[in-house]
Amino acid sequence: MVTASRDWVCIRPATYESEIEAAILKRLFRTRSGELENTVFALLDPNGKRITRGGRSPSFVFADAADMATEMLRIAKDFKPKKVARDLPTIADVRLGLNVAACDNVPLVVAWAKNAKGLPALRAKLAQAAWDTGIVGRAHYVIAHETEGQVGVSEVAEFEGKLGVYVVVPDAYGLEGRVLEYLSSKKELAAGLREALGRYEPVTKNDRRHVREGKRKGLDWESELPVTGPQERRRR
Amino acid sequence: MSRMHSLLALALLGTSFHSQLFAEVERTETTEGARIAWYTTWQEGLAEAKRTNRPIMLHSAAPQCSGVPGMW
Repeated sequence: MVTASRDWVCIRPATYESEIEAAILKRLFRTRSGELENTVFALLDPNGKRITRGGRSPSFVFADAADMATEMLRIAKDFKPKKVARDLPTIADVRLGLNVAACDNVPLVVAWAKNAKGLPALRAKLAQAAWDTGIVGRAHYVIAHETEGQVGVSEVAEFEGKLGVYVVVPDAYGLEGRVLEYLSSKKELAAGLREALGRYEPVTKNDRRHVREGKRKGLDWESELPVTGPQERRRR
Repeated sequence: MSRMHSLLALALLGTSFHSQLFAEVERTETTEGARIAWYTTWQEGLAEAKRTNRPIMLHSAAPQCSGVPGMW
């Protein structure tokens, strides 16, 4: 599946975090409830038009992961990828980034610029490292400075706010983080990232225990939009 | 079996397959530890797809389970 995914752009919008995305997701798959539900799945062409029917998940379309990977490899042959450098996949801000990174059990890499002007250069430099064979897919990324993407940075322990790249370990619930490694953006990033990722220790999570403990602690994620998935609403 | 029972059975079956295959996609990684590289916004991902002429695999998910964050 990972190999098959490299010839694709894999997009995983966080449901209930964007009104614009919610409208797109509802258009891609019409649920029985008529409401946006927790998950939507579809394969699309590079212009965003459906190639397969949509569904709540890959299992609506494919028998199993092997079936899906086979079909993805087959479809990818219809599109010749351009030989250009890949862009960096980023998350809007540190708050959402910590949560998504915790869900995936990977570090969050926060690239901190002095100002908005510094963002594109920092992004390009980090993109080069992020698509390195030993790094790709092993972290999430936020590009931020004092007035953009910075929401949530106060929850990161030992964050110093100086120009550079911070490899952050999220806590199990993605509400806080701590700096595992600081890398100067003046130096080559791939080696430092590889080393930091090698030191990262994923947390073993049990789904039921995680939710039970989270409820016991009174944790409740506030999404941008109301949760409308009927199953999810019943569970809350 | 009545139509309602058939539909319920299909929904429950779909739910269990949904959880398994979703988890399998989410946790897939190579022996070297590489994983799927996810774009997390539609805007960024679509722009990348157009720019690089790559098709899109889209799979939205909520970063909270029963309201508790840190789990899809």
